Amino acid sequence: MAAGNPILQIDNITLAFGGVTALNGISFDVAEGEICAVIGPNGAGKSSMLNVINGVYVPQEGRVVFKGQDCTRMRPRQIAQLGMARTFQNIGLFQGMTVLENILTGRCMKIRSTWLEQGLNIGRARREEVENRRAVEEVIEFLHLQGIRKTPVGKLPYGLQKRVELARALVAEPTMLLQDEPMTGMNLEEKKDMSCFALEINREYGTTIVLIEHDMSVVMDISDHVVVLDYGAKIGDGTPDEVKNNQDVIDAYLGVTH
Amino acid sequence: MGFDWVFFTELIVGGLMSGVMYSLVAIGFVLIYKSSGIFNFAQGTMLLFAALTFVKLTEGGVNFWVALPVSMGTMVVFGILVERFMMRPLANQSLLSLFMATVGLAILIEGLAQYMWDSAIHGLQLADFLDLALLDPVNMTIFVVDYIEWLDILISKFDIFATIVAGTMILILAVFFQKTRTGMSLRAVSDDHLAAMAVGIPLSRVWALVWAVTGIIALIAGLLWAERVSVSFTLVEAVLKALPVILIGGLTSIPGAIVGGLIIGVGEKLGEIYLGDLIGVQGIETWFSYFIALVFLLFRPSGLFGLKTIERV
Repeated sequence: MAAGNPILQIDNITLAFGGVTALNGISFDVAEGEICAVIGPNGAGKSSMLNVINGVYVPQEGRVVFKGQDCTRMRPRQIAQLGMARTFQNIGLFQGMTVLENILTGRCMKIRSTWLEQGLNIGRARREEVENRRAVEEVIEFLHLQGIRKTPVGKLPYGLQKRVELARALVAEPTMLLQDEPMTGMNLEEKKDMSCFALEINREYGTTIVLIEHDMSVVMDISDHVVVLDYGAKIGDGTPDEVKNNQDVIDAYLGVTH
Repeated sequence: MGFDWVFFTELIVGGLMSGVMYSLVAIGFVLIYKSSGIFNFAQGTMLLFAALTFVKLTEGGVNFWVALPVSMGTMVVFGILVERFMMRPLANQSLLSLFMATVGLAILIEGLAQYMWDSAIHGLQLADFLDLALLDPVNMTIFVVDYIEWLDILISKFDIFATIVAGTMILILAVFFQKTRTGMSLRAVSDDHLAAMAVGIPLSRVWALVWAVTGIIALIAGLLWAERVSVSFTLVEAVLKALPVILIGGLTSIPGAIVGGLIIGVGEKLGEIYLGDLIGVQGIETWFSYFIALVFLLFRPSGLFGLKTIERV
């Protein structure tokens, strides 16, 4: 495990929708600089977990602490300002915009100029524009998106859209990146690319990554730390090797005879 | 007797000019729909409330150039209040709840307008206030409209003025929402709320801004329309004219609202004159625009410029 202090602490989170308990007393820590995978079968509560961390859902019980600050009740924007960026399972891109515009929205928290300055393109607006373009170009190069800058994202194949979404999250220069099933629906080669990007982001920028997957094999190779959920409860937590040999995890994935 | 080209051109020009007015009202709907995903049922009453505020101020002896910014300020405050007390508590709730909230808002504003002002019919002579403007100060009352002649075509001066004002508004809005980051945020919010919030776009501020801008549009449109139909509850119904416009243009597109407005404006006039004679029915203007919208919807269910919705199953 890449050593470090916990940057994110999940403390006894319980989340229910009406009578359905999606998460039941979940606790785990994510260390600074590590790649942490949250895995589990369909309906295990993985996406709910991520939405709690990100501030979309407010849990009934428990606390989420990010960088030493209690952010259980913060709104997604406030959490984003603390340095957390995310991607979505069903691709949360802005379909009406081009690749470049989509990535540019990731810089919106860095903007200080007023709309008047922007409309007239003067003062701070002009300087910020230059700085934002530089950051966007860096990310475009990093994720090999050069050829499709001006393409409307709706026209891109699925795998590329996922990559654009990653670019948008990355351009905000986050300290922590949440990825909701970044490899779902991809072919083997795209999955490999996505894994490589996660590793490179982690090494190059020191970004802590929390990713969700239900395909165990993909994440075992790149993760430092794996948390396993099933039916809203945590059934495994440790290094990939520990988790692989955990009987509960094997049962959840392969099923047991009753 | 041959085809009367002059009359035909007159109809087209008149149609285009009323079309610009429809477009302006339609943009009000589009902005709310884009940013909040709902059809704003309160648009008509907002129009009435804004126009009433202005009329009551001027009737109370307030100068035109003071009354206008004060009414605008009122609508901005209104926008901020709507965000704080309606949109924010209902964020992430079902769209139907939000829509019902706008129905409630409509009733609230209607009551408020009657309570604060009154329910009498007010005449509005914008032209009187504007005699320093580009038109010469001929008596342009509500019922007697002054015309100018251009290439043998009669055009109402007020229509020209209204067209210029509405057209300028539309232009400013289009540039604002295309060129500034706020505009970009709005487009982002309209495409995907959750993603926009995760990226760090200030949803509350975007909503407050959109409702305030919609309020200002309501004021301008209300004043221009009130000139023709006077300031009363008929103004609320006048807004229904924008409905076929957004059906044609697509609820999500500002260019769509512009083109849709022009199509309805012209189509309605042509239909009234030529089709009305043909089938021997008078007054088809009132429903013909809906008929046009229906035909468009048969071929383009999401409107001319509307985003096609593809549900991921």
